[in-house]
Amino acid sequence: MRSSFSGLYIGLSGLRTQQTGLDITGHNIANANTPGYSRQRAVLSPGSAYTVPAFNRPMYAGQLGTGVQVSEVQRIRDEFVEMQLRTEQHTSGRWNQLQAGLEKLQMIFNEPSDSGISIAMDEFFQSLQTLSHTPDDESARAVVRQNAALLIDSFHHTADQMRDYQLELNGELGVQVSKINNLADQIADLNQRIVAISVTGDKPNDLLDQRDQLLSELSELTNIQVKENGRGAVTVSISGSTLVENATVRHLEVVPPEDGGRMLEVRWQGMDGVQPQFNDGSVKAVMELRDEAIPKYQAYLDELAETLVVEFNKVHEQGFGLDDYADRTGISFFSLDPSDSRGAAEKIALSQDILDSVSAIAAATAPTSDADATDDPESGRSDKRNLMQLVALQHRSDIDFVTQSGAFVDRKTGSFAQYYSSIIGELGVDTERAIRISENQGVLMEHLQNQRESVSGVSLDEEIANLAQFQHAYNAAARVITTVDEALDVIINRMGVIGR
Amino acid sequence: MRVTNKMLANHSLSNLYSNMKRLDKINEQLSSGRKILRPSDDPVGTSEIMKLKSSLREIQQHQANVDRGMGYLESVDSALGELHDVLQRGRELAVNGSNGTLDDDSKTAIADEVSQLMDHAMQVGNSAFAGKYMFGYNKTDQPPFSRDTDGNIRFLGEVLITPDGGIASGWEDITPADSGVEIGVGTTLDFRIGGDDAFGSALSALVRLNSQLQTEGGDVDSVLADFDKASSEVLQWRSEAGAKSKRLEITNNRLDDLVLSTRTLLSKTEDIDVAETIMNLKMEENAYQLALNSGARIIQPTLMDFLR
Repeated sequence: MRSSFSGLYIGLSGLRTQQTGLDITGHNIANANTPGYSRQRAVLSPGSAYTVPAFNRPMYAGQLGTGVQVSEVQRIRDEFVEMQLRTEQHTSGRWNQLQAGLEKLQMIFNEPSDSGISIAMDEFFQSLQTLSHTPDDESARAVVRQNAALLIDSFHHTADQMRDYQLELNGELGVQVSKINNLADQIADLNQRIVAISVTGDKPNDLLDQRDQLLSELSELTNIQVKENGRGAVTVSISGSTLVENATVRHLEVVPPEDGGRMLEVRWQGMDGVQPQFNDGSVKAVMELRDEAIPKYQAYLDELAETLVVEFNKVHEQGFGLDDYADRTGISFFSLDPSDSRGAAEKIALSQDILDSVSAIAAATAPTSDADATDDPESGRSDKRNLMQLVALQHRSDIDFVTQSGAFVDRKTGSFAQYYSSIIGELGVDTERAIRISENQGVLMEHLQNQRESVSGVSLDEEIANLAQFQHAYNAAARVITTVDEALDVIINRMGVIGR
Repeated sequence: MRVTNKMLANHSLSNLYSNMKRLDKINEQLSSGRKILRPSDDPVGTSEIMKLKSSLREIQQHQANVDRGMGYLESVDSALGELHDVLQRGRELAVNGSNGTLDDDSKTAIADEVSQLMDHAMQVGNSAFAGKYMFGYNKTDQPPFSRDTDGNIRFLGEVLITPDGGIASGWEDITPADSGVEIGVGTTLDFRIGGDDAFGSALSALVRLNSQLQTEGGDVDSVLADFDKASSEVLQWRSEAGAKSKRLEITNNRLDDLVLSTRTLLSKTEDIDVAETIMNLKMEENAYQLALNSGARIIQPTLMDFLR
């Protein structure tokens, strides 16, 4: 026989359950804008019904329900979309970083502009032309030297800035690797807490959300594979090598390479120098910029500087200067210190002779001193035959440029200006490609995020509708209790009063 | 598909961002007047611009070379004009001196003037342009003509004319190499005119006249032919200078055209079409306004606004 008061308990279970529903709705609304939050839902199920089969079960129709209960607080999400998001996040992270890096390189080269290497080179050759009017004019010679110094400065400036940027990226690599370590630590910690809660049968929804958020941040840095084991912990690996397993983390470290270079290497800690393989993500992009893109453009610039020095000197060394330099050939104009290991663009300088005196500029093809006057009718201080050879270098379009940087080899033939503009053109193409891919990736990410939002996002309309629904149900459950109460009132207080 | 408030907000925002980005780009183009600001805007166009700018600077240098050449040739022309005047006066004096009735005093007076003319002709031969002697080939730092103690006239140190007015026996003709200034890519023009070529005959005629006048019973008549020959030679060198000048003028016109066409091409590659860009700006502005409007409408209301 069921209890007279069971109606009260059914009402009470309704009150409790609807209240839980209200709480969860409130939690959803409160987290409507929390990044990475997945909406939650109370899964309601009816309580176990009465009566159970037994020898002395009551002799009336069954079963009767005993109210309602919250069987689970469910996190609504689509695992497939989450996985796609993580994968695309790698690509996104990589191309965003590449785009930023290449745009920075564009800024370093600063072309097309009125202050780059291109104009410095033109002005240098122009000053040679001006000198060809009065080859023995001291001030015209000084202008040539001045413009050569400006050209050298432009080379140095561009090369230095590239080098600085490369070192910046070197530091950035360290920062990003420590971010990976930090995220891995947090994930391991959450793994531990999630497992501890999961074994009790509860759902640590908010912790799961937090961990997913960390995984998403991690996948922006590098390519990761995520596998969930049966107990709720995730195993995170980078190209097959484990980073996090349960509560243990294998850290990464950044160390100077064994060959004593300045470019840091990333290694697994305590693994005897084994390097992780980054295939994607912003760490990969930082390494690509540092080890491929910048060296390539450095090599291009070095090749330009070196070819200019070699070709210019080759002609210049055949000529004669004035005064102290009137009787000798073999005067270099530029110098490249062979003992200096830096690139040509960084070490290009004026030769000591030119620095000492502008008379060293070798415009003549015959000795220019009176004492050594030859039968050559063109001999004299205004002899400019060699100078005109130097001027002609500007138009020579059969100069070979061979650039080598690691496995990258490039051969071009053309004039100095053509070669330089082709470098800039290539940088433009590289950057344009990075911008385009990065933009496309952005659209893809947006689409996936919307898909995720569509499944897991909090809709205020929906929550408010739920709120109304739960409120009504709560009110009704209270009404049930009132009704049962009134019924009991009849039994307890008003029954059996005949003759009283 | 379930659409949440955040999705609406995200959509509105990302549309606003991309609108803003396009507005920014157009603003950058309008305020700089250029459509290519960095290589990635248009890599091919960037290379093109760099080449065009480079060749523009080169053409401008060639123009400067031409301008200077014209100035130089003007000086050469006026020097040769002066030499021509000297020759004319010399011929008049030769005609006067050939008059058999002249007494010795008159002859001496004429010879004195001829001697003055000779000096003047040498002075003209030693004239300079911008501080550099014009007629001594590449030895621009020393006056090409000088007279030694024996009365020889020397050119660049070598005896050119002997005191009797003849060309020195040891004199070798100078054939200069072509050593000019660039007036176009791969084109050079040598502006110089050699003093030996332009002044040789003239000086020789003047010296001869002088020596014949000073010689008892000298044959002044025969010098007249020398003057005629010298005059025509000077004229010939003058017209040579004139021809070079003309060539420079034509080159200058061509360079002007080239500057114009290069600038036009550069402007087409580099500069924005203002009308088009402003129209684009207006369109983007409109789109931005619309996005703001619809965003404002969509984001605000929820079911809350309609429940009591």
